[in-house]
Order: sequence, then C-alpha cells, then structure tokens
Amino acid sequence: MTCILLFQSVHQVMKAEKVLKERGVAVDLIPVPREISSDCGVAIQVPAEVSEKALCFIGERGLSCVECYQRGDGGRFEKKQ
Amino acid sequence: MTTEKRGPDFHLRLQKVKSGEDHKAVREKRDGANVVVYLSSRFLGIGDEALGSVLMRSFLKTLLELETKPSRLILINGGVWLSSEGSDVLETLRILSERGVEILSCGTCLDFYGLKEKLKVGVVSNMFTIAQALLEAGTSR
Repeated sequence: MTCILLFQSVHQVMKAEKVLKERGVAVDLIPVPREISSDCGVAIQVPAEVSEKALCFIGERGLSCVECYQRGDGGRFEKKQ
Repeated sequence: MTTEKRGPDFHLRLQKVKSGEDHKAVREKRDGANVVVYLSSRFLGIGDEALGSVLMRSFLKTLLELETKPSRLILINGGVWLSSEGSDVLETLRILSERGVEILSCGTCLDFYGLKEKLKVGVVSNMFTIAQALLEAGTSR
C-alpha cells in the first residue's frame, strides 16, 4: 500500500521530495490521480508504512502537505489527513 | 486489421466488419494507436530545469495511466539521458516498453553523450528510422 501526499504548490513538492530523499525515504513523484483534485498537478508517493515518518521529516523543514491519501490494493483512495 | 510485433515476428489480425459504422470504429482505433511522442530533452518544456524534470516524470507516468498509448517514443539529443543508466524514469519507460511502446534512442546522441554502453531500455535508432516514424505518425501502420 502507498500514501499520496498533496502539497499547495509544485515548489513544495520539489522541496519535500529532496528532504525525503536525503532522509532515505523511498519516494516517488507522480501525477495527481484523477480521483483526487488538487491545485498542484504533481504529488509525492511513499510506502504507507513510512508515511508517518515522512510527514515528520517534511514538518521538520517547515513544509506541510495539505492532504494525505492512502491507496489500497484495489486502487481506491482513502483520505487520511 | 491490426498488427502487433511479437519478438522478431509481426502478427496480423484481420477482422470482418459488417457495416460502415463498424469499419469506422476499426479505423479510428487503428489510427489512434499510431501516435509518436518525440522528446528532445530530459526536461519537459523550456524554462526551469528542476521543474522540467518534475514535469517529464509526471508526463511519462501519466502515459502509463492512459488507455491510449503512443506506438513509439523517440528520444533525441538530451532526451537519450531518459533511457540511460541513472535516469529517474527508467522503471516507467520499462513498463511502457512492456506494454508495447517502442522506445527509440538516437544512436548519434548516445554516442555524443558517451551513453552508448549505458542504454537501459529500448533500442538504438538512427535518423532514417526516426524521420520515417515521425512522418508515419497519425497514419495506419
């Protein structure tokens, strides 16, 4: 399972990706899925098991994701935050 | 009629159509499949390179999600970095290739950037094939 983190702008996405890579989190940059609407067209995907840790790392740098979704095995999205 | 390349062979599939409407549908499907994507840089668009890199990753991943796939992806000049060792999009390109998208990287460009031995996905191509592929785009294959 994976978690999709949405941010307010592409600048924030790029900064967050850099932070997570530095901290060794397996991060993937993806287009925002059609089922989810967002002002920014790109999002960050992380494995669900490290999503809490990823949010902490991002928060430490003064960044905050606006929404967080968990993608289940069936491909459905469940809003977590 | 549809064609499919399986290894060294081409498989031809013929379908009998009954009405003009069916014929139109078959033609539209066939024509829709022959779309060529031409990438002349590892960045998408002109402007900030970091943004261009993000957009390129997003674009290629979006192609994975779409039902209609291009028939070919042509990588030329700096675009060949995408199919070479160390690229962020190798996995995405591998999946596209597995789903039938031909990935052609310009041989001259690989040579220029010292990437000839580092090509990881798709095949080395030349200007003749690339030009022909572009001219044939939008027509039946």
